[in-house]
Amino acid sequence: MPEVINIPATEDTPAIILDAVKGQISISGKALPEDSLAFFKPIYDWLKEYYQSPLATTELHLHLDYINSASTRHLFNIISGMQDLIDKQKNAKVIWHCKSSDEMMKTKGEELQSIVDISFEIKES
Amino acid sequence: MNYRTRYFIYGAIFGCFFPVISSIVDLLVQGLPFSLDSIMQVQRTQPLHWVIDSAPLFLGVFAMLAGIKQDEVMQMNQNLEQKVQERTRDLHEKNSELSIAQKDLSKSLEKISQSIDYAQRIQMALISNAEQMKTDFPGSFFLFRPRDVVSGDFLWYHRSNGYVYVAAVDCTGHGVPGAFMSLIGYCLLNKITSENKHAGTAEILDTIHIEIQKILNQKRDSEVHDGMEMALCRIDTKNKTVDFSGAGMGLCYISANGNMREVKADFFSLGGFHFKPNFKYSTQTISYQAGDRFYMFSDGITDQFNAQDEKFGLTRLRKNMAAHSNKPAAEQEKIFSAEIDNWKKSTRQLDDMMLAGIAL
Repeated sequence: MPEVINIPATEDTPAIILDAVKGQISISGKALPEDSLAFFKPIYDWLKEYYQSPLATTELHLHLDYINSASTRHLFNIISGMQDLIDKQKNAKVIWHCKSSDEMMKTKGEELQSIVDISFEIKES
Repeated sequence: MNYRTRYFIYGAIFGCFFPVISSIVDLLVQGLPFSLDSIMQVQRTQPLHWVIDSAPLFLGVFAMLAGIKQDEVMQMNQNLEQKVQERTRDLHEKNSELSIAQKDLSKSLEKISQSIDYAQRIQMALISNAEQMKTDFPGSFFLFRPRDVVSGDFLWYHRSNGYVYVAAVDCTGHGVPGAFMSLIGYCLLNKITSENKHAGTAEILDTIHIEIQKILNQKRDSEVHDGMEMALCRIDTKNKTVDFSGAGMGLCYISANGNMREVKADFFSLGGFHFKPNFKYSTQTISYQAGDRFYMFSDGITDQFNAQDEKFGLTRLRKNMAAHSNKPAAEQEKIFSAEIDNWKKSTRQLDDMMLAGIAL
């Protein structure tokens, strides 16, 4: 399995970078795939492999302009999987990037921040 | 006959004129009579004639060389023509393949459209209960704009034992998968409220959450996380209270005096898994006066982009609610619809849209 996977964005799906060298996952753009599971499947597969020997710190960078509810659930799933890293004495961090003008995404980030048990930072730009 | 042979013959014939003419000229110059003997004589005595006599051969050979070139050109032409014919035939074949594919495609499309139109009639029949809301609470309206004919958004309205239940629901997905999910939600709401005629709103949400997990065999690591967001109200018209429980969908409440407030929902939506395993939904009770109203809506409206890639947003929607909430229902429906159209213009609709305004 390649250590770095780069999936370019399409009209309906965000750009994804899975970097096992830096321990970074980055999702940016609009997430409204017709079939959300088919879209997130490569990420799940990569994570499964990555979690067998994760780095000391794993960061999830989210630069989302829009995410539909089906994709949100997959995002929860990914974040919840990251919580398991803490049990393995590793660091896990979510960084939620949003435009300060985008109240919808800001609220979504804040709500998510309030329920997760791992470090969750909101960066407005 | 090919060109090389033909040209050789032409060249040789033309070449024959040279010895003939040179012999005649020589006969005339020497004053000899026109006879075979005289010709033989001039030929024998003048060695120049031998050179001239070879003219038919040389001219024939030269002409043949040109003929060979001509033959090659003709061959190339022929090859080209053949290729053009082959290509044309291929194109015709491809063309007919394409038109068959196109016909198949439009036939499939037509079938799918018909199937979805059929499904839409079923969905419309299900949500027609919401029409009762407009009769029971004059001044109420319901804006329903599916993205793809059938919708994952729906409004549910139910009267039971002096209570009026109304729910705005936004299922995961849109189109056909959204509509599938909406049926699960619709049936669960009916089932729970008919089994327990006094069911509290939080209790209903708790039950729906567990029931969806059961119906879709959802476990922590399963692949189907689908579910729905829901804003659920139980209106007690006798005691003039509204109980509200929300799963990822809140409501916007405007008192008769014009005060607006946001009634927040619990974060977790229904179905799938919750981060907190023993999570229970909460209920908020609002005492109302005649003339109060509230709105429930799906995020398809607030998340809609315009041509500049900006979202419609909650602030804009709230502003519109504040400005128009005291207008008649039909007018409000038109205004909100026009606002959305004005925002969206030719930008594609991202998700199902629903807005319900209830006047108490």
